[in-house]
Amino acid sequence: MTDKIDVKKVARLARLNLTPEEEKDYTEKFQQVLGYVDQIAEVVIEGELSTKDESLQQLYRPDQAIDSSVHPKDFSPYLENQFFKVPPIIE
Amino acid sequence: MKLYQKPIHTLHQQRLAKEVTTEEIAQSVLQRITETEQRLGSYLAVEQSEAVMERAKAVDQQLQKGEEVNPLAGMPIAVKDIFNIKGQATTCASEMLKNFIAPYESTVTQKLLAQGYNLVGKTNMDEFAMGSSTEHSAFQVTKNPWDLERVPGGSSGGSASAVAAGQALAALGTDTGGSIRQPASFCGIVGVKPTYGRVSRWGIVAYASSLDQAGPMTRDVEDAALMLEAIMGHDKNDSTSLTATPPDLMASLRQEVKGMKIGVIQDLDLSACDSEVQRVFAENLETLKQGGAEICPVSLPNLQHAVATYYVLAPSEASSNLGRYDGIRYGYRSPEAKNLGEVYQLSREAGLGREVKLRILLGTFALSAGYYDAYYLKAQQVQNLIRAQFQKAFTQVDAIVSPVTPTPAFKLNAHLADPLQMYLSDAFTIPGNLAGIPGISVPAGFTQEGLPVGLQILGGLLQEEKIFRLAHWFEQNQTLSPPPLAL
Repeated sequence: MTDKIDVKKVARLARLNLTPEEEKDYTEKFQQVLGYVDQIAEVVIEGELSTKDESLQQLYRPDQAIDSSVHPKDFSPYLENQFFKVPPIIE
Repeated sequence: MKLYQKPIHTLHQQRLAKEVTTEEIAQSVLQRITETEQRLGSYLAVEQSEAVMERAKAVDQQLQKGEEVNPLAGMPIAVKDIFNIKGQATTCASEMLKNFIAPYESTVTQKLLAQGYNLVGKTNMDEFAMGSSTEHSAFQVTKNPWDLERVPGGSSGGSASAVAAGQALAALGTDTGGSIRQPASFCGIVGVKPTYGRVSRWGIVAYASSLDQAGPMTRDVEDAALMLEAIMGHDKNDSTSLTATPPDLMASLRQEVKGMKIGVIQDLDLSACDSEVQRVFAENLETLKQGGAEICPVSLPNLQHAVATYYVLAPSEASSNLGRYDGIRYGYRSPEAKNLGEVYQLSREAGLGREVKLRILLGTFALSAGYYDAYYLKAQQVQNLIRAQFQKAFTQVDAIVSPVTPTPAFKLNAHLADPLQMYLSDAFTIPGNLAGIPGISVPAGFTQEGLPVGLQILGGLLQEEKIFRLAHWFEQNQTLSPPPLAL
């Protein structure tokens, strides 16, 4: 099912930086795992098989604003004057 | 028998009869941690002894005053480091969350707090629960207490080794593809994955949300029932938590196995299993037959595709769930990042481990344009096929039994370089997660080498009572002669 996968491209999509050594290692492991996973293509799906799980309950609740007991200052080391400080975006 | 070796329900009866105090129980467990932890490595964080002793003392004072006390009150219990405990680190065994302090409490630990449990520490695991040996922890390797050269299983390996070694009386784990049942089997303890939605996921770090489920890891089935009864129930903070009435598990323990119909999966090729695992399973079936259970073949033709299906669905959800670790709001941020793109890429490069990155890559690929239909959508269809086949099987039988894993605990480093071999160690547990059904792993025998082997009992959706009934009967009616632990 799969031709040669461009792991570097996938890593870019996932916002992961890979070293050349990692790229080689992941290319190998990727081929190995996908080679195994590709067997699902052989499974014949007869008729209309929904991808939804009918047994799952659907719970709805009204959209309500509530006061959260958790504030970013409780978990973020990057907070400055209520904002998350990041490096400059525009170069 | 030392106090730390006993189940919670026995110790509770003993303290009600004034034969033992909660302080003595806590002292015994703390002492055991001091003696063994350096060799075992179960814990990422251990509570201050004074705090543990103080909580135990408070329970003893309640008992002295004649107040009613819960069985779990004051009992030293360990928690996998994936549950938020307010004010404490939740690292998920990742560099990414090494310095993350949980700002709120998970529902599960909140419920245990309501029972007065005595937190003894947070246990090691595979990073973000991705792995089957606990070797993917960013911080340390945990050993199997039966053989220190072997893995305890994973991802809840620290919880399993802690309970097996007596470093805790019970523990919490999470199970996405077998992460409670497989380490329970490798370490010779009881582990339960409830029906998906029985237990709230609020405050548990997400791996694959549609499959993740928390559950107890305990010394015996009755303790598992006590713990699960304490943590089940609907939670408005988790819309996937079930509104169904929680079952009366303690009542189910008093029932016979006679007349139960027990399915054996005819499509499962056991010849590829370790020969000792095959022997133990054959003996287990004999025990069940002698107890008056009827063994029936059941057909689950697509079970062979379960591992492949799981390794599309779980990584896909993981790639989405772990997108939040971007170095912006919390977690690790690379000090070398000079612009926004680098904040993401360099922080994730340094903060996430190899297996986690592999699964993020697999998931990102399966969800990417051009591949989505062939992988993600197709995997969902196969999942539904497997689910339908289980539902049909459970119209014919009360429970389905199989070995928990194809082999007993493997050696450290055995599968580290070969992800596929590692993945296949969950071949018998993954189907339960894909179908959303409950499963329990019960100690079932030992290999010639003295390694524990478990029996897996799967039930239909919401049928926890049946698997507890069977598991308890089986536990009480088999003869196990465990060899001594390695420490």
